[in-house]
Amino acid sequence: MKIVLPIEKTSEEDLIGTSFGRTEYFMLFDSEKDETVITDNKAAMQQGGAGIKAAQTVIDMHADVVILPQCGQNAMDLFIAAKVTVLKSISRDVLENIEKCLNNQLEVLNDPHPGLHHS
Amino acid sequence: MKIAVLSGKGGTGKTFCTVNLAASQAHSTYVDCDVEEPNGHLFFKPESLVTTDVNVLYPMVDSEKCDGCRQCADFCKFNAIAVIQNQIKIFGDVCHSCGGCALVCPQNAITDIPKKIGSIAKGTSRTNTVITGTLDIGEETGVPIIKDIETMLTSIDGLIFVDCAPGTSCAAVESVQNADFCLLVAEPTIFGAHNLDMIYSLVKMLQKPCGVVLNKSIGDDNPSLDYCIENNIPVMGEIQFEEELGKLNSDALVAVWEDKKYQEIFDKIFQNIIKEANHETIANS
Repeated sequence: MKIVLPIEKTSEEDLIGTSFGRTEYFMLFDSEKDETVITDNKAAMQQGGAGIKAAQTVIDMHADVVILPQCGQNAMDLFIAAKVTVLKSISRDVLENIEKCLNNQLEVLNDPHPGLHHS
Repeated sequence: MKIAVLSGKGGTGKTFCTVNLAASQAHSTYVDCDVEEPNGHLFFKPESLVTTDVNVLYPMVDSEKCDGCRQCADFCKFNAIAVIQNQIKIFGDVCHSCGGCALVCPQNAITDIPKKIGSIAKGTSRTNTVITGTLDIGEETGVPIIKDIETMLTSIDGLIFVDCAPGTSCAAVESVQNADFCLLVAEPTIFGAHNLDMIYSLVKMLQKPCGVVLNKSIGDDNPSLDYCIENNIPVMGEIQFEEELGKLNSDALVAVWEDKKYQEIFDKIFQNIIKEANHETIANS
């Protein structure tokens, strides 16, 4: 299973990013090969449509599962079309979420976040 | 001559001033470019309305022709296009109708189709022509409506008073670009002076001649007047904060049509605008 997570660097350790579209980079963990791949999030500095571009990056990484704290409508539409399962993160801890995911302990994220802009 | 009426925020009396200025000058045209919330028509109650739709172009994909080459998605600066399993998906709410995707598509798989975003209604009220732009609910930007109104105005002679969108947004800039004179409406508060500063910065940048109407004046203390004096901005007139005006407005009545004294006030403001505009023209020629 290929699991993708949005990651944000902090002075202490790298954590799950709070904003999917604007996160610094994406981490892919391939549970079969037990390897990790890092991809920059080119959407981070875009003026608009960051969620769409970020979702495209995740889909292009051939993710089976993406773990997010929240997900906007546009990105959600793309994940559904690309058959990527969206799971809700339970904390900002990367390893904890991967572990829970592998043990089927994460819930599916169904409700798209209404967005922080245009409100 | 086209006079754009602006304010740094909503509620300063921009519509009140534009409506009454237009109504004070027989045969002039009132144009509501505050397309998100056009309300000048409530006062004018225009008749014999002719309405035209405003459309923007929106890309549609022929999935038979599309081979998922991604050139459109790579081109789109707004990230409105995604590619999944060699099929493109377009996000209408992010699309800015630039038409670029259709141009770069090597398969000619993208066609621009019109999509309605609003309308323009033209009617008459006494001797005035009244034009109202309205943006449909849920649409992103009213700028295309203002552009269509501008085109419509090129065939209208005489005096035109434009009620602009509040603030310094794209919509306000669009309305000001072709104006001969900008009238800035300001409230007598520190906040009002701050808003005046915003809008004055805009018209200064666009190098438009301008003047200020001090609305809702009360007492001698007026930070907006102080701002005008400091920055050497001519004051076109002052309107007192009066219960009578409040009542007329809340009944959606045109003040200059109800009471001669308001006709005199607004006619005086208009004469000052003409004087100032001519003075500017001479000074710059």
